[in-house]
Order: sequence, then structure tokens, then C-alpha cells
Amino acid sequence: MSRAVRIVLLKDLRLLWPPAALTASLILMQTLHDWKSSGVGFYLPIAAFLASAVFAIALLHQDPPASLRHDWLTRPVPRLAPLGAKALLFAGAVLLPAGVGSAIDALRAGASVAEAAHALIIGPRLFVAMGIAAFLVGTLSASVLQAFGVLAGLFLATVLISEFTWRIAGLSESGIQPGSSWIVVVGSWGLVLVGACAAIWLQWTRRSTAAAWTALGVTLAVVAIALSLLDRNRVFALQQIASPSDPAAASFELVAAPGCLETRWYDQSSPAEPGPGAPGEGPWTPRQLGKLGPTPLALWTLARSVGVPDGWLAVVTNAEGRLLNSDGRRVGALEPEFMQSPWHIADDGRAEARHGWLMSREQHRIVGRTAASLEIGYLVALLAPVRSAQIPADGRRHRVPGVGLCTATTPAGAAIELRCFDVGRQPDLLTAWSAGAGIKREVSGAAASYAPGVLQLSPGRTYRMALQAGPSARTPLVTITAYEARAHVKRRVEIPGVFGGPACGPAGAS
Amino acid sequence: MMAIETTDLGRRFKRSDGLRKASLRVPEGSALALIGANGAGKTTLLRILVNVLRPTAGSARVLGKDSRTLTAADFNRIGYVAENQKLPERLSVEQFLAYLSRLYTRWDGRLAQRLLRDFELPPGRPIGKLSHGMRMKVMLTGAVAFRPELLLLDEPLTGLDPLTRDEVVAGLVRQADETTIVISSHEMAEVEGLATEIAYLDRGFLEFQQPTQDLLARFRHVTVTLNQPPPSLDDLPGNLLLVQGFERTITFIEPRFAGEASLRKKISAYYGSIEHFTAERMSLRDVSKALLQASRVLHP
Repeated sequence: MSRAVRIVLLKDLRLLWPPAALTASLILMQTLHDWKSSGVGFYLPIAAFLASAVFAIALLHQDPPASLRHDWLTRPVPRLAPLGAKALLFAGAVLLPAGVGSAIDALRAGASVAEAAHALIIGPRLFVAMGIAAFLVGTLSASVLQAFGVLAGLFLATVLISEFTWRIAGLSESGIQPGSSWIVVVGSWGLVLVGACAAIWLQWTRRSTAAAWTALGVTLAVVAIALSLLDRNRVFALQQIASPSDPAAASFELVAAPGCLETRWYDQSSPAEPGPGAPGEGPWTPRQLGKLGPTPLALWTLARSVGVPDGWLAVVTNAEGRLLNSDGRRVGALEPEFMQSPWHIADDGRAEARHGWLMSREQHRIVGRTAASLEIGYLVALLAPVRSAQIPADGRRHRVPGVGLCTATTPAGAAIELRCFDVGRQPDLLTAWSAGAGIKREVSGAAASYAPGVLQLSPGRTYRMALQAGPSARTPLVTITAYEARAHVKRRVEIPGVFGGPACGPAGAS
Repeated sequence: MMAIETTDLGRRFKRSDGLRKASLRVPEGSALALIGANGAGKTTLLRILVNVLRPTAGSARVLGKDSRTLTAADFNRIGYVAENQKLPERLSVEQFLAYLSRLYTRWDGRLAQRLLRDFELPPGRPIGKLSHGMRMKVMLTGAVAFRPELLLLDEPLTGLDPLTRDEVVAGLVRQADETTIVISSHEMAEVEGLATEIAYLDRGFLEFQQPTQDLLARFRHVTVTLNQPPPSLDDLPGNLLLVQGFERTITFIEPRFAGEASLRKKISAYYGSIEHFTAERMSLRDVSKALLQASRVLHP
């Protein structure tokens, strides 16, 4: 630490120790105690977060670089020294308590020392994000009042960018392919981080407020444009560029399950219809339902995997339903379910992709009059197992090579809770199942991530899965398998006559 | 050797020019007083000299360096005090000076203590709870105690009571032996005893820079009583300032006084015989006031 940084740090500490102590106390109280049972539980995290933001801005405004009047500007203080001093004090008063609190909390919950160390590092991530925003605001504003104005402006810009561009991008219902969200996260947040750091650097080193604002404005505009240009196909194309392409994937196909599709007039007012949060069975968002009228037609498609290399896993990451006329031209699109089911294991052990769709009455009338067909476009990740191991569900910690430390417990009934943790490079997907649970087994997979190793931002990861246990085993065995993506491919399945054949279709008028 | 040298220095703001083509030379060891109305560009000039503002035209060299390249180390040699400077309000006087003493390599603790005593500053009181005058004294102590080679003072005397003004000026006079001083102030009476040079700024332009004695020597407040009322005051030479007339008496400021005899001769040539003539030396305060009034008349 340079002498100037130390001097400014001591000065700031002397000036701001009461709010620093208050902020640290609020953060520690929030992380070290379970307040859920009391009313404080709702307000404490908000208070801790707000206190941290106010503290950061107050800290920056002891020596704001955008000012023309502050004392430090004409003292022998190197330009970046106050920034360093303030970053250190923020780390000590906010990030350290948040990290320590998270680590202690993890240890109390039975985590290993390594997991606690991981919690120490990633626990304060929200405070880091807030700190960067507050430092940016403090850097660009010449007064505290202006700082709160800029903060409100940035908040509004974030809301607009995330909401507005999300909607025009059409990603809201079709969604980003599970496992590929890193493209949006790394891309948008990476750009924002670069822009924020550039603005902060320009202001502190060159004291050029106009240049700093320009850097920030350009960054936000680029992020907004990039997000608005993203759709499922572009995200998938980027994922393909970032992933390997194994020639063995060429043999993989998806075929439509024979027979008629399951169809039903979807009565929104009926309490029998599944509510939100039932992937594979609907639902559809209020926006989709509003667009299609009161009683649209719901249909479910089923595609089976063929030619999957031995041991590999085919995961449907996204599906898009299109209505085609007799010339093969697109005449309409079906509304996909909001939470698409990635895959399902059939009785014969093969992966099946089952998806729910909505069609308006108008679309149904059109397809009834013409020789239309239904085409489902699938985006599929093909994964090869790289490591596999069995551990007993005995509540003890087991080291699984390449997976990390895993603990399987059977706290209640037949359910098995599995928890694995490792640092460093993570597998693209981790799955587990309990031996003896039958061939129609429930495979639990922790959320996949197909991010390349260098872009896996977290230093480690904890996986939590709930498994069905076999009926008889006293200490069931759990098989854990780590997968790596070998290819990301597109496949199409055409369903004749839209519903599976001339004799298929919904029963009744509604 | 010049402590400060500016060449066609300019600073443009969004809606106006803060400073236009100012070429100033301040020799080492001199004390320059910047005079001019509010908004004349004095603060802008001083902020450029300490690199708080960047010039949009021309250049400024301060202690041999381009003002834009001044580094933290250079501020070990430059002291700056401004009336509206923001200090760490919650630090006590003692804590603030202790903070500064750690920053400066040439901090003179004894001098700081002496100034603290001379200015009768309360060491334990937070800066935020000090009166305006006390704050100015604290700033001055902080700017002088590291024995700077150049001291830039922006309105350091504004709002101070006469006693405090005298104390501050006395402190500056003690410092003047070893420091080049640039002071902008409206308190001309106090500055007169300190300044060796005067620079006059008007609406962003540096109108002139001159040694104080030369300036005072060329300004005269003239009262002339004629034998008969003048037909028109417009006939008088254009360089005279603030010309006024009442019956047979006319008064004006002569900014280029070259001797009583020649001036009498010039007036006689216009209005005939003179009954009474006086040409009084002016104080710096009166000169400054006359220049400001003349500027207002010319640029209302």
C-alpha cells in the first residue's frame, strides 16, 4: 500500500468510522442470524444494502474527482490514491463483513472449510456489484445530491435495458437455452464492467467528466443494442462458436413419437389447469394467454433421440414450434411454454423431449382448412460423461475425483439430498441418480452451464440435488456423473397434419 | 526566471469564455495581485494554474512545468487557497494539519504551530464548526506550513473582519520573502502593501500587467476648476476615465499621467484657462474601483 493511499485511508476512516461501523454491523447481523422468523428479516438485508450504498457514496464524496473545489485536488496526492484508499475502506467495511458472515454461516450449516472459503469469496458478490455502481456514481457526480440523481438514472437505465430489450428481443417466453445464459451474463455484465471501469479511470486519472460520461453512455447503448439483437438462434450460434464440435454428433437425430399429439382446449378460468411453475405441462404467461384469446388450444409434442453415442446425454435446450403450409412456408408460430422441460427419460432409457404449446382458435381454424404441418426446431446439447462415481447416502463427506466433495443424506422418507462442492473448472453438467429407483428413474441435474473454462466466473460451485431413493435400500448408493458438452446441434422434427395425422386433433369445439 | 508564464491562455465553458488569450508572466519572488470584477476570469486562471481546470486554448507553465502535467509531487511546491474550497469538515484543526503534515515532504511543524498560535486557531474544534474567517486561517496555515515556492490565493480575504484581514496579510507578508505569491482579491487596501505587481482582468481578457508602483504612478484623480463652464465634456481625450462635470468643475481619472504641467496644458487646450487644478495620487483600491466602474460604463 502506498504512503498516500495509507494517509487518505486513515483520514477517511477518521471521518467515516461511525457509518462504516454501522454498515459492517448491519451486514454481519444480516448474514449471521436467521431473521426469517421475525419481521426484521425482510428489512435487514434492504437496510444493509442501502447503508452500504450510502456509505460508498459518502466515502467517494470525501474527495470527489468531479469536483473543482475539494481540497485534495491541490494537495500532493496522486490521482488514483483516493480511489485505492476508498476501495480498501469499502472492502474492509462492507465486503469483508459480508464474506466473513457468509463463511461463518456456511460453516454453521455444515459446509466444509473449502466451501466456507468459497462462501467468503462469493458471499459479497452483490455488494461488489453495488459497490462498483456506487463508485461509478460517486466518481461521476460533483455533489451528494447529484450522486443520488445519477444513481436513480442508472437504476432506470438498468430497468429499461433489462426489460425493454428483453421484450423486443423476444427472449422473454422462448427463453435463453439453459446453460447458455452465460453468453448474456458475461457479455452484458462484462461490457458494463468494462464501461464502468473506463469511466472511473478516465475521471480519476484525467478528470474528464465529459469523457467519463461518454464512455458510460456508449457502453449502455452498446449493451442495449446487443441485448435487443439477441434471440435464441444468435445465442445458440455464439454457444456453438464457444463449444467443441465432435463428429460423433452427426449420427444424432430426433424423431417424433408416433401417434396423435395430446391436445386440449385450454380453459384459463378452470382451476384444473396447471399453474405457473409446472414445466412440461405449461403454463403460459399471462401475456401469451392474453394474446391468444380466452380458450386457446394446448398441444404437447414428444420427440425421441436416435443415434446418441453410447453413454452420451442429449439435452434439448430450446424448442420452437412453427406452422408450415403445404409449400413448406412458415404461416405461424406456436406459443411455447414459459419453462421448457430440458429432457425426460423414457421407459426404455432414451431421452425424450416433451414440450407444451399453445395455438389460437384462429390458427386452429386455418390449419383445419389447409394441408398444414407442424415443425419443431430443437436446439440440443450433446454431452459425454467424463467422470462417474458412486457414493453411499450415509451423510458423510466423500471425495469424488473430478467432482469434488459430495455428501448424500436421507433426512426424511425416500428422498435423498445430494450436495457436492468443488473449486476450479466445473463440469458442464452434473447428474445423479439413486440405484434401485427403477429404470424410469428421476435424473436430477444441477443447472447446466456450457461456459468455457476461462469464463466460469465463480471460483467454485456447490451443487444441490434431490433424488428419489430406491424403496428397499437402507443406505442407498448414489451415482454421480459429470458431463462435458461435445456438440451443440440443431434438429428439426416435422409432424404431419399438425396433430400427428389426419385423424388427430382436439375433441369438441372448446 | 518565471514562476508562472501563460501564453494566450483560454478556457471556454458551455455558454461563455472564462478566460481569453491571457498572457501573464510572474517572476520568481514577486507578489502579483489579480484584480477585476466578479466573473472577470480570476478564479478560472488560478484553477488552470493548479490543474483543477484544463485550458481549452494556449498554455500555462507553472514552476517550469506545463500546468496540465503537474503531478502530486509538484504540489509539494505549490500552495493553493480558495475562498470556496471544501475541506474535510469533520476533522478538527489539529487532525487536518496532522493529515497535511503526513502528505507534505517539506512540512514545517514549528511554522504550523506558530501560525496556529498567531491566528489563535482552536486546535480541537472541527473545521465544520469554524467561522469563515477561522476556516480561511486554517487553509492559509495548511498552504504556508510546507513552505511552498508558489502560493496561489483566490479571494482569501473575502468575508473576513478587518482585524482578521490584517492578521492574514501579515502572515502572507512574512511568507513573501521566500515565496512567489499570486493573490486575487477585492480587498485592495490590504493587497497594496503586499503586491509588487498588478494584473487586471476584464471579462476574461488580461487588460494589463504592471509593477504596482508604476501603476500607481500613472493613475491620478484629477479635479479641474475652469474659469467658465465647459461647452461639452465629450471634447476631452478618449483615454480619460469616469469624466464628470458640474458647472465649472470637471473630475476624471487620468490613467496615463505623465506630469502635472503637460496635463494642465492639455486641458487648457480644450477649455481655456484653468482656475484651479489638482492631480491626486490614488490608492490601489481607488484605481481598482475606477477600472471596474469604467468597465461597467463601457460594457453595461
